[in-house]
Amino acid sequence: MSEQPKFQRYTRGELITARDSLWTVCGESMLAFEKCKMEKGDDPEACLQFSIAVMGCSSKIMRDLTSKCGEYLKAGSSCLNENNMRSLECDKEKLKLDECFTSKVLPKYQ
Amino acid sequence: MSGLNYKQRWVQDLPPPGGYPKLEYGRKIPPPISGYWVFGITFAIMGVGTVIFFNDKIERMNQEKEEKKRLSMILPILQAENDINFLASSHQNVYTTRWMPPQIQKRQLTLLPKEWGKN
Repeated sequence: MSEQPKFQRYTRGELITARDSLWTVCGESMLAFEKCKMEKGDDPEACLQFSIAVMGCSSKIMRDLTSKCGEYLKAGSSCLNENNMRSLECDKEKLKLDECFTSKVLPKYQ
Repeated sequence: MSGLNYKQRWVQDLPPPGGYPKLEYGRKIPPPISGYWVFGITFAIMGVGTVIFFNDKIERMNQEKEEKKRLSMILPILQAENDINFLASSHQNVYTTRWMPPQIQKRQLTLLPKEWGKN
């Protein structure tokens, strides 16, 4: 069996908390990926370049968020874990993370 | 012997003049509520409850919609990660027919035929 690529795995709570930050930078690549999926079907090989683009972009953003806004990310994900993954309860934490993202991470990508 | 006077005439107890008042032996109940009122109150309570329930239900459905929308925002990432992991692992090419999601865990992988990994 060949080795699996080693992505840093992020939890669903972390990804949902960082959703708007991810879409700010990686939105176009994600839309392109979904468009390819709709056009070429579910074969993973057909849209491999798009999936690599999505994974590269999102893991970059998540890495930056973890290093620069780690506390907010952690607060958001633990809030989601405590509230049975209901993100409506955790808007406050998400807003704090978004503020941190716009001030510390976003300037790097503009 | 001094207290009894045997020479006194006997006097019989009689009702007062005009007779005793009538005894109230019948059951006493308050005047009953009208059936129309009972129907009215019942349907009013049911109506208010229905309005509250459906308002709540609409709100819950909207919340569910919002949750699904937020969840769908991270789905491309999960899908892309799954695709890459699947292509990097040993798998049989089944895409000439139809796509099936990778459902094999490490434990089941030992049961698979070994020639699949050589492709």
